[in-house]
Amino acid sequence: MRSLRFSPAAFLVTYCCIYILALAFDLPLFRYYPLHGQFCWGSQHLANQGPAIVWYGIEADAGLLGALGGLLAGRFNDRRLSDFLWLVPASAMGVTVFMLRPLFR
Amino acid sequence: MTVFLLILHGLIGVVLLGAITHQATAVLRGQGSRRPGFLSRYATVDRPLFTGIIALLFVLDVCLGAVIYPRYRLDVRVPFEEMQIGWAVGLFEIKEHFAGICLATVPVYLQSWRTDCGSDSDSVRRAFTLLMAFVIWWDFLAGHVINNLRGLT
Repeated sequence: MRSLRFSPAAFLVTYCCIYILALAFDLPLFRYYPLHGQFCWGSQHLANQGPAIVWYGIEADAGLLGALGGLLAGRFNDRRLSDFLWLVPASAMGVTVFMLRPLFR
Repeated sequence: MTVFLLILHGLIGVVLLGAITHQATAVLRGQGSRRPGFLSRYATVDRPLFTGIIALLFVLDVCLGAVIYPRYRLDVRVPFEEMQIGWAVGLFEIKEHFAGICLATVPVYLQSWRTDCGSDSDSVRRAFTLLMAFVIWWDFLAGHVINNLRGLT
């Protein structure tokens, strides 16, 4: 039986891609409504429950699928990507700033 | 309780800021320059110890932020929206997303400081240390500005 190996590089790439996709297409794993402490799954909205927190659900999406990606690509050679790997989170941050630009008008 | 957690969140941020700035300075100065002076001493860090502590404190600080977040969402963001201070909401959103994305860099950051594979490893180490330093500085300053505008009570 082959032992499981975790690839930090694959985790990072998967996590960042899922994070941006979940943010762009409004696909959190769940939403949390802090006013009444209620949760609801997926993109479903609850009426009259106050503002929702989406960030927890996006983190859950990215963390779970990122961990899966890191485990599945455990034998992937991280060194091939290593010199350019920093561009992945840096680009993801750039995309979030671009998506938030309406707030600064 | 929220105020206590917010102060703890800020204090951990201060420690984190100091540690990552030491490490980033060490990375930028590199191995070559060893002239005695303030910067040389400032850049002298116990690298394995600093790396572990920075990773641990960063994860802990993001988790603390996540615990306080519901109070921010109700007591701070809603008034900001009512007052139409969009840039303040945006500033916090950027802080939140930078921290969330930077969480994923922690395993690579740890790995880059643990392995010693010559120049390849040096460039990865430098890139991820500077990226973490940027996010920690940004998040600290953004949090400070937001708290000055309207703090949690």
